Amino acid sequence: MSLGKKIWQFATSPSLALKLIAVVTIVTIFGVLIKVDKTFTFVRMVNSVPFTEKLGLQNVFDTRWYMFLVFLIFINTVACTVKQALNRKKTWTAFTPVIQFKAAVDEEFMDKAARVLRRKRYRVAVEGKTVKAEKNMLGYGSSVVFHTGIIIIIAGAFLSVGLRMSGRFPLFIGGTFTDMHKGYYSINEGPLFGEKHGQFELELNGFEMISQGKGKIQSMESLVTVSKDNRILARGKTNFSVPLKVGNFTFYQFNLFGYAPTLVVDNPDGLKNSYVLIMNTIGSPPNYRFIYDFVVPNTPFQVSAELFPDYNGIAGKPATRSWEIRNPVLKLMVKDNEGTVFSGILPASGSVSFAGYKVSMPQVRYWSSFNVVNDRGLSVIYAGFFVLSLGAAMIYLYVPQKIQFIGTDDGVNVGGWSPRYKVALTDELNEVISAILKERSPGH
Amino acid sequence: MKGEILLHWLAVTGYSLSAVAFIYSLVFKKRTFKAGMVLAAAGFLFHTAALGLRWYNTGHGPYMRVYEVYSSDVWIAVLIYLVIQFAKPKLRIFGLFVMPSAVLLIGMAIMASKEIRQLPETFRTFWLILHIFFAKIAYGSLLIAAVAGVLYLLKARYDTRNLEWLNKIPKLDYLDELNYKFTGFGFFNLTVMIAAGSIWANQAWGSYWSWDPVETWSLITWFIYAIYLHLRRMHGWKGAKAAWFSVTAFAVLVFTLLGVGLIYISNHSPYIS
Repeated sequence: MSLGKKIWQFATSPSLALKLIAVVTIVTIFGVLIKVDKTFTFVRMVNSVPFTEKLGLQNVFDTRWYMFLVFLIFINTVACTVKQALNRKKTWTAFTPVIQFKAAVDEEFMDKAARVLRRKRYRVAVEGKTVKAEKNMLGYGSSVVFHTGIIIIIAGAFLSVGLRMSGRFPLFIGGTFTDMHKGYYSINEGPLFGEKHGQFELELNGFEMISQGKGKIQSMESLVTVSKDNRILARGKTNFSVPLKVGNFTFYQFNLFGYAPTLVVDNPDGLKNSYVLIMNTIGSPPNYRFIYDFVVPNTPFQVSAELFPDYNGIAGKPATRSWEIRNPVLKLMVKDNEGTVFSGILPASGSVSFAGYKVSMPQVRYWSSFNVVNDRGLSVIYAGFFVLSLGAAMIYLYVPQKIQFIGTDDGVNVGGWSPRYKVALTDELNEVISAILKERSPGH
Repeated sequence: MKGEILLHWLAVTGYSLSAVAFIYSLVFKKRTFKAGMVLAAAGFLFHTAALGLRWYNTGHGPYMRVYEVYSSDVWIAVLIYLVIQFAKPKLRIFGLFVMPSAVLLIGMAIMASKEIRQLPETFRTFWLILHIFFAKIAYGSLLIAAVAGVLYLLKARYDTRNLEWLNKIPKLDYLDELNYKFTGFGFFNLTVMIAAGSIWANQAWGSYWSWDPVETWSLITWFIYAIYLHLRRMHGWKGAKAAWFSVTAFAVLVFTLLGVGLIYISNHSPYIS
């Protein structure tokens, strides 16, 4: 046997497929157990053995060797599917009879048999004293379709891993985000993505929080404009259940929001500076806090600010009544090298002064955050899901079945073939025979 | 809320009495099987009303939190059982396992918090409905497959002793094929469930696969059933070996459904906690 044939036989061997699925299953079980073990006890235990620390056990699913295993499954599935497609049984084979019964095998009998079988949706051919019937022949290709779905999904997953880009960024109302690598708060890029940035600009035009009461937020919705080179590509809303798709990019409303007060600082020398503070949202609802600490440029001041969007008016223990911007106040603490120079409340309409500086807050806006995803493999994966589901449905719904009646001098020999359900086939044969024996001749 | 709980308890009563009738029939050789069927059907009617009322009260399908999830899982399992026994009366014996399982799971549901949880915005999608629909059909079918496996093993083990109750269990080759058929059907539903869930996740969070514990265990379960089907189709596994495999695979499925979401924090936690 040639080497090529040997390799082909090995690659298309069903036992190889089984072994690979078993290995991937075991590795996936280990992978998920490690992933949820936050203390990495198992990882540390294995890593204490020489040469094992390079296995990347902290996240098995991102390792190259796991991907290699999936790649082996891919190769094996491709080979097996090609083999299956080439080996589709198209020819009629004679079956070993499983049932024999006495009957006069004449034209009338053949006619009755054909009628009964056709009623049961068989495709029937009568050749002399033989009746051949088959149904659900579409099922022959079902396994090929199913496995093609798996091949497409794995190919799509590889494309996705290689070419995918996902990033997150915050943006206040009226602000514009430009797609640049450094502009993202966090970004993940596949090894083949190739820094193809500068693809869009996103302007946040509006933001709304939908409350479900008791300080809980049901949803958030942003109105955004996506453009490129000053040309508007799309303008629309995105919320938790509806992302906005523009070209290869999909924009998702992320469940993080906050406030962006504008601070105006009047310096003693008459200069005026303004700052937009994208405040950090910490804690979880209903105990959110919106804070920002920064050093005011060209001054000795360090500012700690906390915003209350709907201030309840209790000075000693400030709190907010809702997340809506109704009565915003900023709790400010300003320090220099010698200590606290100001501590108090800055209302939206007023100002505070200290050491010759005057600080006011003319505007408070929301900021919202977005995830943006560019995944070239996604449509391939979706196509794979469709083909896979179609194949699975075909496997179940179209079980090929063949029945053969051979008339002899002693009676009728009945045989049949089904790839899976032998008992059901025997039941079917008995049912057909009984129906034929009960069948009346035309005209009766 | 009170009406819904009362209806649930009536369903539990129906299912419990049905389970007792099945066991009594088998142990004491009495003709209480038909009574068991009637009681199961009565329990199912109360259960349907309870879930309908819950749906009306919450404004969404019964798929948020343990109470709704487990209760609707039981509903689907009992529905599949009733349909099967109607189509194939010789499979009534399956009630011997389906009904006690139903009582156990619905009991867990009733003991859990009944507080109404609003549907998160990310759950308001067609893909989620598809995901849940196919999940429930898959679990129900694979439960029936596992019951066929258990009955096969029981019959195979005690067949030589000529016990009367064994006569109520269908023939071995029939059970074996039933196990195969329902596993195939369950596998098809699992496949669509995972695909629909993945599309939903991408729509909600921008990631079709995040190796979330429940997600990963669903994939592991899918792999295990794929191994079962390959073993049967390519390596001729059948009979006791296949039955044992099926029962073990179902244990993994139960862990994925009931265990993982409770033990680990996952994307599925909001509905299972």
